[in-house]
Amino acid sequence: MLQFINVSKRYSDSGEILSNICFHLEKGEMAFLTGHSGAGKSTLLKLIPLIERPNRGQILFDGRPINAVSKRQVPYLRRKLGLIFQDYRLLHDRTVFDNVALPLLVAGYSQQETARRVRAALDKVGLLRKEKRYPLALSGGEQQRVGIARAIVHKPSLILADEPTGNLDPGLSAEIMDLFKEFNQVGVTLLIASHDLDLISRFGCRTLKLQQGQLVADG
Amino acid sequence: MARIKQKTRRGRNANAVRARRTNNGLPNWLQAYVDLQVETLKASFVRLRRTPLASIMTVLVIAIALTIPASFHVFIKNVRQASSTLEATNQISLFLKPELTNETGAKVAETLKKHPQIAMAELITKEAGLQDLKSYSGFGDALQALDFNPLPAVVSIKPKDSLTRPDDVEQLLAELRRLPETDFVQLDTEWMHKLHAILTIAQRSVLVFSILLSLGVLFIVGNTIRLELQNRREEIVVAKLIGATDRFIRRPFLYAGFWYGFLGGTLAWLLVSFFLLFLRGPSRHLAELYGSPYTLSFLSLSETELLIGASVLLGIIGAWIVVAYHLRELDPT
Repeated sequence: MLQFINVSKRYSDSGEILSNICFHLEKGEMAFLTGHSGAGKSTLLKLIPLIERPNRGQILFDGRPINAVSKRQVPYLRRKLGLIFQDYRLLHDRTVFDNVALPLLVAGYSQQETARRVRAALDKVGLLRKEKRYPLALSGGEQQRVGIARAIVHKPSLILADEPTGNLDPGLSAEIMDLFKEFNQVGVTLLIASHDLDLISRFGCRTLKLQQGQLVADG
Repeated sequence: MARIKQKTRRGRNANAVRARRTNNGLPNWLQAYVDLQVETLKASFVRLRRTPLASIMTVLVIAIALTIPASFHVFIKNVRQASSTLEATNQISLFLKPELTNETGAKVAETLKKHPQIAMAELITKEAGLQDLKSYSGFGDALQALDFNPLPAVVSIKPKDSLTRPDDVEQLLAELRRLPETDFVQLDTEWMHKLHAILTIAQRSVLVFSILLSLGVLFIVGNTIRLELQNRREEIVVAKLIGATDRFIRRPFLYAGFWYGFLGGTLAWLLVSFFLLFLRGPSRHLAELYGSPYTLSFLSLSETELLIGASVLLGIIGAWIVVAYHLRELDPT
């Protein structure tokens, strides 16, 4: 599903952020990516949707090298991914429904199909009743659920979450993680970056640990 | 990666086949495309209305920029058309030597009537000439002060309609000039040629104004769209993150450009029409003075299409340039 082969990323101003990263995430797997802030978690996640490109190494997604993806093809790659952010990144001038519908709108689904899928996604995160609300009228936990619904609505083959519980209290964080676990149980592949080791340890999932740009533990 | 794209397309086609056709009988993917266009068009109009003051100002500036060359153009068109209705009255004025009496003038007029190329020759006596001058020139009082009539008698000659070639006209003029009673001969259409020359220059100026003001419209729309882009920065970044193509992101802005152009062009059309309505009374009066049935002509259908069409095109192009230029800066980081 996702394979990193000797991947390095360097910024001209801050030096090497990732060096020689190697790992393989199988289809249907759920893995955590941990490490202190600045260890390179976010950078690693940004390489997959080509927000950043690696300086060295190969990344294979669905068996294909993503280095070869041209700028014009990037949107089509991103449609196969579901991205979840720490700050949710919702559009405040649109309803919950319209926020979740965005990936389908972008991919050119019909209105009927869109409505059906958006409701299914909102049902999964338990927000079906709030589809007409605006994001700012929701709690932080609910906003993140909207973000999650948006990430799963187009049935991506891989979900990437960058500190999804970073802005939430422990109770809400656990709920969000339980939601991820549920997705994983029905076959969704997830890679979740988090520094909340207490939370991670409860799930007993595979954990990739980054330290100063190196992968120091995998298991 | 072409394969990923292909697969996406194939996936969508499969959806279309699997799904029933929609109410209009269109295949699903086409219906989705049409839905998207219509939705974007509506949404971009709703957005314009959300900031009414800014939108109205943009539309107004576009309208004014287009009204100037358009009304100038209509004005010239009208002068040209009005003058061509007068051109048909191709008249020659033969001014007799001042010492000659009205009687001699009448004899000259009689002789000329028999000329094969002349349809009509009529004497305007010295007195009648002065009377006309008093009533039309506005110098009535000043002329009253004169103790003698300085005007010569004039034979007003209308050539036959068959006389159209400039050479033939010139020949007739030469013949009239040779008459011993003639002081000088004037072809009344000469001023027409001068007027046409002036109008041609004016028309070229309109072209230059049009180009300059069109560039103005381009910049106005561009600037408005640039502000809009900045306001929707976050939205664009999110759209890019979830797989929006540049085309998708560009679309609402192009439609906004369309709306600005369309509304600006339509308003310009209205302004030009009001301008003409404003001129209608005085121009009717002027036509009456010339005894001409001429009525003011408005923008024709094709001119209206050109005005609004050009405005729409400028709106879209202005938006396109700005979006193409700024879209790269909005890549997610």
